[in-house]
Amino acid sequence: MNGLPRLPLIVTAVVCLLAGLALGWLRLRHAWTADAPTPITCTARFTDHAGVPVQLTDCRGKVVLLYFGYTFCPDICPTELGYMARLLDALGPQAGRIIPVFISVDPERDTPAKLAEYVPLFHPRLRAWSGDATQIRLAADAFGAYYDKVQPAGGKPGHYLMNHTSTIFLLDGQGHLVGRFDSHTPLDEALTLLRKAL
Amino acid sequence: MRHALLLLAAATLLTAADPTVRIADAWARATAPQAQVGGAFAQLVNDGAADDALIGASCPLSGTVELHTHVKDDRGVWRMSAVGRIPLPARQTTAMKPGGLHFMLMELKQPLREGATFPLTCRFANAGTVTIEVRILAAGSMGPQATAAPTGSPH
Repeated sequence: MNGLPRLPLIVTAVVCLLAGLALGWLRLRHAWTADAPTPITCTARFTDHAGVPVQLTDCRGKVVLLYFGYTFCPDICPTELGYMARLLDALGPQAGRIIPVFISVDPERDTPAKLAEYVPLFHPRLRAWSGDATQIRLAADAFGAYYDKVQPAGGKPGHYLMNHTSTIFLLDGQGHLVGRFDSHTPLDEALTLLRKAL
Repeated sequence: MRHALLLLAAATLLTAADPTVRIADAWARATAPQAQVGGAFAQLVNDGAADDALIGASCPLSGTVELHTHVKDDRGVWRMSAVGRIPLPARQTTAMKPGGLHFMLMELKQPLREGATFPLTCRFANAGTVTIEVRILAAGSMGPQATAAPTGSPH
């Protein structure tokens, strides 16, 4: 341990502790279904990738699939967004009643313009929301989603990474959380939850 | 001394020309036009009787290529970090795949367009350098095997 800077260790320990406290309930192999629909209070204000102001309450009456991520992510986010696209394709015309949303947790780099060229790579109906750091934190807290910025040692300042929860949240038309899953969840399981919410 | 150097040079050439490590099914995900990073994956097959390791990679399309891994902690948070080397045990295949080990292409000079290919040079501790062609699949693809199967079917 001699010679190693102690600050990163302390930061890592604190991050692990906070993540543990915040996300003790987020263990996903199978879809998680709410015993009863859980109301989500999220007043965060965003701008969507077309430049239009938007907030979660605007989606009432539609089923929402929500994912927190960032475009600099080469692996996990494309995996989850690809999974979301397969769900939408599998639902066929019913998918028209779903609003799939990617919320960027990286406002410094993910501008609406950048998001506008990113989300269509996955699905033509996928929306991307961005906002200032406070609004994003507000939304993540409402869902118990976790993220933090990590600057690799020796890396360039613009090349930071984000540790983040990789969960797709499912909201029904009343804005209640009715399920959570991720790309490890068998597609059929997630589809069953979606059809129930529709 | 001169003989030793010649022998060393010959040995290096031999290992480079006759690698015991093969790279199969190399693929990358398409990126957005302004993307700064991209991810690539492959199967690293060590046919040899000795352990080896992937120690670096480079590609003309990106400033640097880092070897990264993702670890999901038991709270569901994904943590990405660079790894200096990827051990390749003898007679084993090591998978670089979504949700785990991957090549992280940093400072992309041009976007990765679906359907195109690009060369990727891998440096191994013992097998020398091996250059392969990487296929660019869809942005949300899970790999060549997954692509071959129909997607979007509920059954």
